[in-house]
Amino acid sequence: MSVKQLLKRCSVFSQLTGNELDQITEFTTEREYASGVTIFQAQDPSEELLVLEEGKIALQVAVALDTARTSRKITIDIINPYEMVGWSAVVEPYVYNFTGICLQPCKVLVISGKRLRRLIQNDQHAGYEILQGLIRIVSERLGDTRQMLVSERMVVPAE
Amino acid sequence: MVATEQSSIREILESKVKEKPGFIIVGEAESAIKAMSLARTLRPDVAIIDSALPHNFGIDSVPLSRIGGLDTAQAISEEMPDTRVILLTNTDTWMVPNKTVELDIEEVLKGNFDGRQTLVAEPAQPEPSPPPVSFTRADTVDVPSEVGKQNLADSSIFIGLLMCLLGGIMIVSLLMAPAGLFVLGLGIAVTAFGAVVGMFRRHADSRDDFTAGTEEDER
Repeated sequence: MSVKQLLKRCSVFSQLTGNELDQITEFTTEREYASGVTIFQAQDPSEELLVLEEGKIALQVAVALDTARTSRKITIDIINPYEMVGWSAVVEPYVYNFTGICLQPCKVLVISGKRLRRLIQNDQHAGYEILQGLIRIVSERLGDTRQMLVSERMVVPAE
Repeated sequence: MVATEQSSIREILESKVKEKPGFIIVGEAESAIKAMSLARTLRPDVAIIDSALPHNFGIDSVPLSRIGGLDTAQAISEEMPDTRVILLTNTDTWMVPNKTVELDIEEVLKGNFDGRQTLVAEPAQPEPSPPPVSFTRADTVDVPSEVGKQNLADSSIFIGLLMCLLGGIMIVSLLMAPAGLFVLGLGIAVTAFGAVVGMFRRHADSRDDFTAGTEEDER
């Protein structure tokens, strides 16, 4: 499957025209990660959006505990193929909100955040559709986080 | 120790562990909470965790989030450094008809998981690095399964009933009454065969379920 076809399958870019997708493929590369690798850490500068081609990525948030020196990690979401992570590369302050860990060997499309922001500013239609897609993703992640809180997700240490 | 919500996956893991002399399952958990409790109590040498493990279960009004395996694996790895933790990341592909799972526990423990060594990357913060969690997947291969026997029973009953119907129509129409009698008789025989195979299969399944339930109660 070509890069353009892969981008088309991602909900963020599915409404873009062929010409707009061609522009994005110019600053898109492919990358592979082994399972267990941390792709990005929460609070790191966010410069890339990732579209997952193969594998699974776990998004985790670290919760500081009063009684332990280290924090506990909670998985908020699992990213499956054709889903996107790293929307914070498009939205200020351009910092990752979660930590991303590969559960399986992953192949991803890496999109330059800086060049995508430029495309959003210069192309009205592309900018509108991309931001619509990103809002959907942010909304879904917010819902997932809320569900985590409701179902009492945290694993507590022994007293 | 094995931690997974699905009893069928627990059975597969139990059979894989039993294949290796010197390995024994000391505890089973179906949620993250129970897995942590068991790990602290039992201090197993190895903990096999399903990545699709729910944090808790039995909360009827709250939908479960079946993504707690990684957190549990990391927590056990941090709290019990002597316990080797294996995270299974593709158990959702295991329940495929006519396929069996290829998973060699001993090979995984040697480090041959996913065909290459994997480690949790070093965190950016100045924290003590937790011991590595092994991320692994198990492939499935085609083998004849017990589902085939149930399909035989169902197919036999269906074909037998069709033949009975055809035989009956032939008799009633008086066109080929003798042939119709033969077809009817054959249909009854095929239906009876399917019913017997199905009863035998259901009896064998209920006996296995009873045995598994008895063992679960004892634990």
